[in-house]
Amino acid sequence: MPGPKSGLRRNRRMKGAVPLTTALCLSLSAGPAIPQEAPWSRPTLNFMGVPGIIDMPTAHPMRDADLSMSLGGFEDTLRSTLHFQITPRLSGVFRYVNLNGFADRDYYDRSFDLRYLIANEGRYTPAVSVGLQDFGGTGIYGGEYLVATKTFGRLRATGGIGWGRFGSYNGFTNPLGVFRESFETRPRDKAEISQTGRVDTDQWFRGDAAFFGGLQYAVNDRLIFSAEYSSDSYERESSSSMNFEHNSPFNLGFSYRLTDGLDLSAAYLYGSTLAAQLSYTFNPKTPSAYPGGTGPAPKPVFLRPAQSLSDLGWTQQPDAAEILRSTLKGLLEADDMELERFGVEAHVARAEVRTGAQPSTAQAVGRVARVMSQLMPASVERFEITLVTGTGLPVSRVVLNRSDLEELEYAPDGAWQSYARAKVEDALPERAGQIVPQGAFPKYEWSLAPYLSSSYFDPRQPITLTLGAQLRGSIEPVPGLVLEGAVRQKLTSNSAGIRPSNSVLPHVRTDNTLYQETDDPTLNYLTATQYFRPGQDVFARVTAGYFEPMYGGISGEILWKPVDSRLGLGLEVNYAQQREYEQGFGFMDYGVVTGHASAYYKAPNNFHYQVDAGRYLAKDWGATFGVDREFDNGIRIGAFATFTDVSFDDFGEGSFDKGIRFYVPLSALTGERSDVAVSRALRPVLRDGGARLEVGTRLYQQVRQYQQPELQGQWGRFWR
Amino acid sequence: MGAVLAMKMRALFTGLALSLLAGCGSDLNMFRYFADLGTAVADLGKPQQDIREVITPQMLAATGRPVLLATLPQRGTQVLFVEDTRNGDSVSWLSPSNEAIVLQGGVLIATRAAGGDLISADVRDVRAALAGAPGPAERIHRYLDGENHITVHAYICDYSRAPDVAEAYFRQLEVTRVDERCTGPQESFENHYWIAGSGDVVRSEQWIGTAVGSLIYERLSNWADY
Repeated sequence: MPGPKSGLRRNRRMKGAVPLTTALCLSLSAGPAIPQEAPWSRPTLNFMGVPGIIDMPTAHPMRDADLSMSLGGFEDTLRSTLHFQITPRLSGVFRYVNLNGFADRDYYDRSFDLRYLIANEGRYTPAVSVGLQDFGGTGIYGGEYLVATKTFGRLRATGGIGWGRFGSYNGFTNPLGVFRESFETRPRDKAEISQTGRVDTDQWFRGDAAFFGGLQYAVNDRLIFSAEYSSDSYERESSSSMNFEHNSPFNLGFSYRLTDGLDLSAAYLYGSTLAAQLSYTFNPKTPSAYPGGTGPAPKPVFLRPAQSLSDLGWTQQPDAAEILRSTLKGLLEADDMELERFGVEAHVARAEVRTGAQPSTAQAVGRVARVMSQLMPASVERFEITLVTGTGLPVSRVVLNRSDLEELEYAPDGAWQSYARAKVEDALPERAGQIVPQGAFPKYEWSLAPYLSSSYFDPRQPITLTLGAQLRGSIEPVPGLVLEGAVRQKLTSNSAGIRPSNSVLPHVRTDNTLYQETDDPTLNYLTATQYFRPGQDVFARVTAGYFEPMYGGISGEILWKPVDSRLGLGLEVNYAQQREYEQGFGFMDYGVVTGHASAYYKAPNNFHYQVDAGRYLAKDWGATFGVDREFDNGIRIGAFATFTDVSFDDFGEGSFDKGIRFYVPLSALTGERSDVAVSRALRPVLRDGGARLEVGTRLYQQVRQYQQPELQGQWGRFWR
Repeated sequence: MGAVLAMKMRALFTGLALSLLAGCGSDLNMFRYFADLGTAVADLGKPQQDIREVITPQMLAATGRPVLLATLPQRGTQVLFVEDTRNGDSVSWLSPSNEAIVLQGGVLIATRAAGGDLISADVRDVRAALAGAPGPAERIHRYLDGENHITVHAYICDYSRAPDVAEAYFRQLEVTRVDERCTGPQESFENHYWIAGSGDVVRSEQWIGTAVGSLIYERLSNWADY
């Protein structure tokens, strides 16, 4: 029986060299900056945070998937903008603005834009884009534009026509009036907070129009000078108690690329004020300077001597399976994986594995297979690797031929060929003959770490941050039964205190500030979950306990998601009881039966669609629509909106629940192995309508990373 | 080293900041970051020592296996690799700090754990050219991109050879030096091989990829030495 061919033993012999090389190799993960790019590789961002000259837009899009964050300010105005190039042509914007003195107060405004590239720049034709700024239509930035930009070497010229805000200076009668007279008048802005958030298409492209335009000149790859004529009169800012004055339609400025992602812009605006802006652009397709990561090298495939394949002598050795199991377990642990059950027959070896902190499932499969090739007797030709979630739910099985591994390890096209020869199937039905490991259960883990929680857009404190310590732990007494919980102690917070709710609905979320004011330790969550598989393609769980800071109760979910399907269907039913503000064990009177039927679909272009229809916490019925752009490195960026039978008026500010969301695995950014991820949903307003219970044990995201199409998407890492 | 360290520190701080943002510090990752940060700080003022100057044949004898010393100028690092496993004519070499390279007849066909690894390389033509076949030769490299997709880069290479003297195995050797100039649509690079009379590449400088730069290796010991 071949022994383990690990490098560990040799490490010990290399004592003299180890400290030396360890010190030197520490910096192996550092590398060069990405080479500088030509000035027009992506357009400059204007002071509205979108591709533009200074305050006016231009037509070129950002690079596909570019995510830009900008923060800029001038007289009594502070704008922060997120711009995401959703597709090569379509981009979306979320903007949060503070106007000091607008409407006689410290005014905060949130707005969403959409931009669409109608035509790419051609040899003789300009790039043409159309934009809907603040397309809710009732916000202060509401405006539409059609803009064309043409590049002449180092010079870029832009001209456009705008409506609404962009038609407010030197405007003329709307030329669209030739189609229908109603285009000539823009319905008056309602400008009441209760009206915001409604998409009022009856405003779009209405009212007076005006021309705008400008020039940009690239002095070199980093420095761009800009001059523009703006068609925005800043009428409402000028007439309010803000100090802003509009003296001239001409703006002058420059943009300087400090690093590949960081730009600094400065300008003299409207003949009255200086402005400055920093913007950072990040592309989720290239999140790290170390593609493939810096995690440790895999064990090589062990090549069987040809004459050994028919040797079955080892099958007579009674403890062979146990020796193989314990050695395999040790080697997988050294690579951050856990061996669950194991079984071996004359020609087949089966391993159930939890992939732990391995950054990709395909990479984990490749590594398990290589370790098995080092350990398994030569007669074993087939490896069956069952992938188990971190919570003990067996999901899928990858079947590999050992001779394929031997043949393809260093084959130039080894990744694709190994994918073509692998078989991915449901983990059910289970294969017989596997040993249940001794002493593997109970499993437990715990951590004590700082936490930083944040909430946004409270006008008294736009970013509320709370720093504290969190003790969390989980115990799995038997496979699939998980008890987990977390206790938090707030240390410091810049919270502006309790904000009384004005909601006419049951206060299912708007009392959130009451939950944040406790200075005592709080029970963040404490749940018991039983995961199980009722049958092929089907996954299920029952969770009871304290789900989240505001609700506890009982939750059941069933999910249908075949191993090779892009479509998943789920059903979840919960009984939720509102928790006391102190977040101890106590409950308050409000209880609700809430639940959703969900459909999930991952389209071939890596856009993910989700619909959840059902009953929400405030006993309202409706549906949530979500769309996310997903990257095969695990990063997801998306948006969601919920419409329920709560009227826009009863909902209050914002009219309906909506927001944008991010999911970023830390390993994608650093290249280092980690199972930490940042997950955030940003809502302009948190209200009570369309509020969904938060249950941390939902099945879909846990399950699908071990299935298709995710496995195929990352199969390039099989040999990494 | 200063710039390299600064980058490492920046990555660590990013990591820390993100862990904080995440509001969670699952398992030991948090501690790992603190430990890495501590090590990075501790190494701040230390002068770099050239491994080559302290290594002796006696030290290598303990390994009982062939050893090569690799230098990565772009990264400012040196790594010792020990021959591990053979698969056909592909030989994988492992470092004590868990990096790996794979050589085919002395020609680099893969790296692992470098960050920006060469996943595989088709060097059939290259090996024939090193053995004296007339060029030009085609070279095909495969890398992972930021989304874990394999990207294929092809290069056309030509060769020139001249007699030379090279240091390897702790002595001066009469060798043939082969220079390889490769050009592709995006990058071009130059490799050098010092080939002993036996046909073995005893020393070489080979380009891995844009993220890692070149790797220079020198054979320090052979099976025959043990």
